[in-house]
Amino acid sequence: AFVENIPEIYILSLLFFSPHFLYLLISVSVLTMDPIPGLSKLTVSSSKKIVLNCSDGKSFEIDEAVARKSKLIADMIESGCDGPIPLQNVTGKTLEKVIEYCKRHVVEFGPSDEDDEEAAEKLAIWDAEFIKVDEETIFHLILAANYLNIEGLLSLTCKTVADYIKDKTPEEVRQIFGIENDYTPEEEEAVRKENVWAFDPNQ
Amino acid sequence: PDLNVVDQDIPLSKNLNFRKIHNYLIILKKSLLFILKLCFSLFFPRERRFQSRTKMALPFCDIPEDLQLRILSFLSPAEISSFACTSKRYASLCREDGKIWHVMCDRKWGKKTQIQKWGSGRITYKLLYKTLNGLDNLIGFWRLCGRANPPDSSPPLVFFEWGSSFVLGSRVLAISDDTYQVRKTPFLEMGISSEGRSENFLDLDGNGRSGDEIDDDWRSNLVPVDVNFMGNGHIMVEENRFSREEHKSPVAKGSSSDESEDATSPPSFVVSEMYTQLANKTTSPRSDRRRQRKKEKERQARIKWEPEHFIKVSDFSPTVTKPLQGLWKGFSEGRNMELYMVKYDEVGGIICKKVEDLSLSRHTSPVFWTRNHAFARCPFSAEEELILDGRIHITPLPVEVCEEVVSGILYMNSSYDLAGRVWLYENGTFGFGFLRDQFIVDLKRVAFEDGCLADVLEA
Repeated sequence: AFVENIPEIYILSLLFFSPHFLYLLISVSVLTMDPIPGLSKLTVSSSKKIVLNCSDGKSFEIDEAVARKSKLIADMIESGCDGPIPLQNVTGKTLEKVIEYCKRHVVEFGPSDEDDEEAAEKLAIWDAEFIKVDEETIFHLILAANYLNIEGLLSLTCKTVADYIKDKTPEEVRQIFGIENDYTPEEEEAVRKENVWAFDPNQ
Repeated sequence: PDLNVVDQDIPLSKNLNFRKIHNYLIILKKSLLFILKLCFSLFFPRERRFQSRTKMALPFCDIPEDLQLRILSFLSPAEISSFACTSKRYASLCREDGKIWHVMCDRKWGKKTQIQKWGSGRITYKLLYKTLNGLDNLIGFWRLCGRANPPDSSPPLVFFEWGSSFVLGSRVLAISDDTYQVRKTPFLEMGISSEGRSENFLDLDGNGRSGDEIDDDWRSNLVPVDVNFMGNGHIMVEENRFSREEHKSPVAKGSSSDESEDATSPPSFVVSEMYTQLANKTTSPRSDRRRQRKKEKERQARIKWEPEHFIKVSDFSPTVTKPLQGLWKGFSEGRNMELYMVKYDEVGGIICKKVEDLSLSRHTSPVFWTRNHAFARCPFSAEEELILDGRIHITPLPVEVCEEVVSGILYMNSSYDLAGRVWLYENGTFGFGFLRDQFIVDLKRVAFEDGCLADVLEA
């Protein structure tokens, strides 16, 4: 009985699902490939594209202006590197995050706004949200930003890590950074006294 | 029941009975659920985060040292002290002056001044940090309070800014009655000697340095002064009449190398250096001493420079909520350019006073004041338009036509003499005028947002 019903089901499925499914398929593909909805409409797509290959085989194609945020890549472009750029020290997941940062920071310096202060504030808020990731990601971002030589991202990530240990006791700092305590309790007390004196603002 | 084979041309055959519909509905439901799951996993990839994840520490030791220092440069000395206690490795890292203190100085002041030039590059970065931290409070505008030297010559406004290896204090003067430009005359230079002692000099001629090289001629015209921080935004600049000969002795360089060595240098080394210094003092070249003695006499012959007190101007720029606040310049009826200061007080009033010697200003009345700082906005009443209409803008020659659009009106205190209006312009500046006459005084800002002086006459 089922075999006989297949054609009906087939036709029914086409009828019922095709408009919805096609719509879903299209919207999903547009949204997943474009992290910021609508951004692709704003950027001029006539600029040159650069392909980046990362260590785990993934490939990313981005605008040249975005790629130039990285001084390493900018230098490579200057010295005539045309094909895909191999980035052996960066994984796909990290590179994705880096590209997200570069894209946001490139768009902002396009048309000069009247409200430069407001734009800078919005950017700062975006940065604060962007950097809300786990420690492992930040660690990889620091190394990637250093390797790719992206000044803004490096400062942002380093400041975030510094904020982790602001106002923390040495023991708490050890836990966050996975540092092993190689002091005996007596040594630790002596070192603490020495450092309080050494870093005293009145000395 | 009979299941007729339905013709392909008729999709929805009337032969469908209830059972068939039920089957179709089940298949529909399953497919929809499948699609929903697909969408969920694509739209909400962070779902995975809600699973329990092992808290992985950030492996600080795996970060290269220059990046470690970069991270540490964002911290204050007290926080570094905590960090230095974590392990032996990091304690030794934080002991290296050239590394940790260098990045801390660079982070805070690298863009403002040339940190490697201070103290001719001979002082420790730790000392530099402490020095620059203290000098940071000086940056900005200060008002003279008390008699000037010589009287009536010192303008009441001074401006401190970063130089390449010093902090420069300049007097801000109105130039003349036909331009908004100001003249910046350097008068005080605060730096640090290569021995680590603070060196402050008064430049009475106001010539300033020619470039970065220290000219001997220029040097001889300088008066050493002490700048004492009296707390709470108050400094006193006082001449230091007793020049210390040890400063000039070339052997004093030995002591600077002592300071830069770490605390583990044996004490006997210091003692032997001291003896060498004392011994060498007696054999210093005679011509040098003669020159020094001559300068000393000259200095003592000069009339003593009276100490000057300065009070800091706390808010010299307008903000969004306080658009009139700060230091302004404009032309009053007397046709001279005047400096004005507008302050908001705690009860929501605004006072505008001329910038002058603070000890005198207590007795002078304000230029204008008001109790309520709320602006009346567009559209303005016909009476207001009438008041504004036909007013003459007092401008420097050649006449600059004032085309500013008024965005807000403030009512001044309504005593007979001081009744008037403050007109806020769209570009952020404002003008004021009294009901008793037909003038508007248009004011411009003395300083930009970043703290730099505006409209400085190039020497």
